[in-house]
Amino acid sequence: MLDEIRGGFSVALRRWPVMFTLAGLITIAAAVLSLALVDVLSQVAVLKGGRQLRERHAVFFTPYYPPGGEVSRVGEDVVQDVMDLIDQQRAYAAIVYNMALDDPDFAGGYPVLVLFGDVVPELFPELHLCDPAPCAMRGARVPEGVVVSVTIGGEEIPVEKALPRHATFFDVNVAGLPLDHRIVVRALTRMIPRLAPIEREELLTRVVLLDPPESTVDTFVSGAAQGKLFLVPHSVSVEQPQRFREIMMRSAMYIVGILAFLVLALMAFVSSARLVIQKERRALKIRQMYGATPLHLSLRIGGFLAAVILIPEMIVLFLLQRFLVLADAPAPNTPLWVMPCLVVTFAYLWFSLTREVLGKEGLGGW
Amino acid sequence: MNYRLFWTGFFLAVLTALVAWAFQWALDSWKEVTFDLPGEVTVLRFIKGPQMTSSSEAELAQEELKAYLHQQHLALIVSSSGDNRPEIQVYDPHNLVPWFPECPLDEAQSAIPVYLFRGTYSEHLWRKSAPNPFLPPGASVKGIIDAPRRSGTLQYARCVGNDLLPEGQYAVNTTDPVKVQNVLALLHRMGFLVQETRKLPFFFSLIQDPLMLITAFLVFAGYGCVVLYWVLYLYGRSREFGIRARHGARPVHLVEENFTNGLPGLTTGSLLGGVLAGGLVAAIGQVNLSAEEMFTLGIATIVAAIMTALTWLFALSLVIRLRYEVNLAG
Repeated sequence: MLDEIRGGFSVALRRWPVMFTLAGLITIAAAVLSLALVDVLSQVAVLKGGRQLRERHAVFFTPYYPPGGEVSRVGEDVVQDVMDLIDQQRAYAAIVYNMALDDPDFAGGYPVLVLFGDVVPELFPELHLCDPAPCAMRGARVPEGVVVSVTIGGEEIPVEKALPRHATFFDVNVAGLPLDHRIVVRALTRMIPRLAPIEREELLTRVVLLDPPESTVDTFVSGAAQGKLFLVPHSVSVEQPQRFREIMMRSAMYIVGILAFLVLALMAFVSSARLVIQKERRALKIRQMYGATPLHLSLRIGGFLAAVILIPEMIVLFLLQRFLVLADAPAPNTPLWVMPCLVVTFAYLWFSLTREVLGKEGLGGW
Repeated sequence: MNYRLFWTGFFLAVLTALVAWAFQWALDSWKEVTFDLPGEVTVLRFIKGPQMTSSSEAELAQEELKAYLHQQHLALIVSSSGDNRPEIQVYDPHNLVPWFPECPLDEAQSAIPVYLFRGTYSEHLWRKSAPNPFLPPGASVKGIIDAPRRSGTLQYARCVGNDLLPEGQYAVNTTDPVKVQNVLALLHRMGFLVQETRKLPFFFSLIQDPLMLITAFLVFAGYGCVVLYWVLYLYGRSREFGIRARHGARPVHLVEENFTNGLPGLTTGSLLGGVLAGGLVAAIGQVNLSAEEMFTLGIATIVAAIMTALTWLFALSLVIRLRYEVNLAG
């Protein structure tokens, strides 16, 4: 049996220039298809994650900073207004990148996400955040005991438990932030006045207002503008679906294009495979005369097909899946979805080609 | 109708339509960087430099820059790239920028004319007569204009006033090294440091676009597969061609006959593929196709049909003409 499969492989190897090219094209297309699907799935996840925010008519802001790398000086009254809104659960805010920039040992060197607002656990229930604030959690891949506590605004906050594996923060400002290697802190608004200016600036740019009346938005924007921080407001319910549509359009182009190309590549391969088998007709006939059953012949044909449209693709897709898992991609298993499609295509071609050969060449039926 | 040719034509047209989409987007994003400035454009990003410049020196250099642009028949567009006000400043004494209305020639007047972009927060504020915190002091709103394509979150465009130009992205409609050098020297005197220089012939911006590259690769490889497929298909018909040849058919006649017979399948497939691919992508993105996009897709479909027909002719010639004697011998 194994000899037959090996024989099928050598049939492909003897015609390696054409077979290698076709196998390469199909492999590249399958890999790109997997990557395009990763993109689609992560965008769908972002859209799903933003559902609560859309329902609550959230408003977020695009910042324009003061020139020359200067940190903005937004007035205390504006900061106080934001703190009041957060305390009334009508807003939340986050610090994603700028927490303790001058202290490389902060939180054991792990990046920190600081969240302000009791409304956050409600908006992102899938994160299973600790409660009540102040409290902190570690990402699933941060070892236990490495970071015992973090100090924010002079208050020490113990790191309690781990976040679920592959937890992702779907804030409107950061489209899907993986949390596996982060420390997530739920801080209280009373800590805001004691934050460094650059931390406070980031917090103001990442304020998300929930169901805000127009006057609240206008007051916040003009207050921030007086401190040379220009914040352009957007509504999540308008902006996010629009962004989603644009990205889906791009992904659709990849997917439709690759599928069209795969069909053409498979058509070329089937023609070429037919010709190869036709040339092998005599060899098959001789093998039959020496006792090869239809099963043996079909295994030989299967070996040939697998060498081109199954094995190289499976190896590359498997490696891609391992890479995506290691790289913490949002949907690392899409290559595993493409694999069954290839197996089905292979099975169909194997079945039809074997039936054709055995029927047409008078080598016996199934 | 030959269904093999129909399906190959169909899939090739799908791929060609996608290249057309990618091309259209690459063109759009190129225009976005160049803000629809006519001709070849240089885009520069400036930040404040380390050189010490007094404001009077900077003002003097800015006046010289304006005079130089005026004299060289150039336009300058300065846009914020995340710093300063969310604005675009335009200096266009010869009215070269198609989307921007004229600026008054009398620069001595105190109010800075501002045109708000349609659909922005600033327009919303203006409509309810609320003060706009993004506008510079002394600005006066002259009207609402359509924003240049994909201007993102930028709120308005205004004429370059007497205040000093900010850091940001500078686009000027020339790639002449002498002129660019002169502009750079003047901006250096104004206290700026160039952070990145990008000369932007469209071709370079095209080959840096990943979507364009992938779709172009797919269409190229797709044609390769189709040629292989057709050659093998025609190769399988060698016996038929041999018999026809032995009965007096000349290669030209065989090629002509098969080419004509293949045309209905190829054309129908190409047209259907082009229309379907364009429609499908537009439907997924829920966009209404603009006249420009319809035109590009139409051209792409026609090009796909012609290219596919020529490829079919090539495959026929390859198998029938070159293998005529072999076929004749059987």
